[in-house]
Amino acid sequence: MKRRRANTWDIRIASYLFLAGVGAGAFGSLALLDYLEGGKLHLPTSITALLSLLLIGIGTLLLVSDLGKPLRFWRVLLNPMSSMLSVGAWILILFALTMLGYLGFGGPVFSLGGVVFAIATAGYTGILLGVIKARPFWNSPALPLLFVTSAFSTGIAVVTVLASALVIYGLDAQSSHLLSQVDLCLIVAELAIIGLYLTIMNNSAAPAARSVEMLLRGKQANTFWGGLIFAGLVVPLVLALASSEGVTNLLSSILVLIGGFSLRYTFLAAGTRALLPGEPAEASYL
Amino acid sequence: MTRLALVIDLNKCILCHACTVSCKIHHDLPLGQFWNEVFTVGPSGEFPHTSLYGFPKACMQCDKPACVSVCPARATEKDKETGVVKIYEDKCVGCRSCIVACPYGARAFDETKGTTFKCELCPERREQGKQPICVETCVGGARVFGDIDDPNSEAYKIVHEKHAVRYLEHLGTEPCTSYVPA
Ligand code: SF4
Ligand code: SF4
Repeated sequence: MKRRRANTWDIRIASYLFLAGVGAGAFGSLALLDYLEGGKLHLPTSITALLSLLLIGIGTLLLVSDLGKPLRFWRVLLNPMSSMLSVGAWILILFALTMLGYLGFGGPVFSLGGVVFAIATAGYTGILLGVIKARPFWNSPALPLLFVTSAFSTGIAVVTVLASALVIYGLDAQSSHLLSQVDLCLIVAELAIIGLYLTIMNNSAAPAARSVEMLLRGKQANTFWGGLIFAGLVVPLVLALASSEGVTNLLSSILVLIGGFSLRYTFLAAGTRALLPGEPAEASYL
Repeated sequence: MTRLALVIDLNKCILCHACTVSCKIHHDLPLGQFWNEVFTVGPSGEFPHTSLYGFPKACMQCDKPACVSVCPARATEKDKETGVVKIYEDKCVGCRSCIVACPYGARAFDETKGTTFKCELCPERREQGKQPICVETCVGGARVFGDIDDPNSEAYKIVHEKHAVRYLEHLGTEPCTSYVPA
């Protein structure tokens, strides 16, 4: 029998974490700019809100379709304080409502609220994994920090793609330059956090060290080195330092998005748990 | 309080897998799905001082279950009367958060039913005054079932007299199942 759904969490959950992060980062960064500029960026922020709603919608559909009983999804909403997953579902709803509010009314309340809920959404995708003690590689407050950093970096990447693909987007050159500078800082920060994260995990509990091994040399090594480190962080960094032309910006944004997905995918897959006596290591993989 | 649990004597397990098989047959589990498994530990050491033993594993019926606090549907809980950690099939949304969060890999997702299951110490047999099926079929007499809070039960006596140990205690789940070390 071919399994339609994995016994645990697979690429659908990784995609959900990624899409929620991108959606949060994209609207969050533009809403912040719009707030700081006193509402001058209403048009691009509104377009971004539409895109973020779409991304978060797709992510939520993936999450619901991954359930064994999709039609019982309401139970997750009716038990809001039961678990991180339920809290997160409500954060997503509130974030979506804030974006709708911005689309309808604009103004500083909704843009600032959007920033707050964007951070909450991106942070929640990390906390969802971070609270799971059984998988020590995830069980760290640095995981939400890493996911938030990546969310804003990939969010800005999507904004850059929008700006070059949509003529009517209307993001002025100064703002777009500012965003790419911020993205540059975020990429450097992400590299530093990943380096520290893996070093600390490598020296902690045995399962966490096994996770690091999986990323650096094991099953996830190709995606980790190729997708996340090289394509997703190092190349965009070099490109950004080399030139700030439109084409390079576009290329490096696409690479950043590949990196963002690889981050969620590899970190999810590498979360192993401790082994019982005689238990085969594969049993602890996700 | 009553806390029903297994005490497993690792010195008596002969690695015959009768518990695994009877559990699968009794609960009609699909291919590749287990509520109980026996791991082979070893062989280790150097001849003539070698050792090989079995480690049977099922849900540990934790006092602080890691599976419960991640359930978004309140579909799983520790039963106050028996101490057994139960899953309500009609409430489970099949998100598998509990499978990811259980430190012992004790839960299994049933693809056809769309919900998650695990060992609940055979409630349908307990109702009839019988022991869980794995205990009845254990050839080596390694599995003892009972109330680990009742000083008159055999389970209680073995836990205390043979200094049974619990696994992965540092994770704070406070498992009820314990093992007499090999
Ligand atoms: S062993 Fe796992 S499934 Fe069983 S109660 Fe403990 S945490 Fe829950
Ligand atoms: S799979 Fe079912 S029992 Fe497990 S956490 Fe999800 S809803 Fe709860």
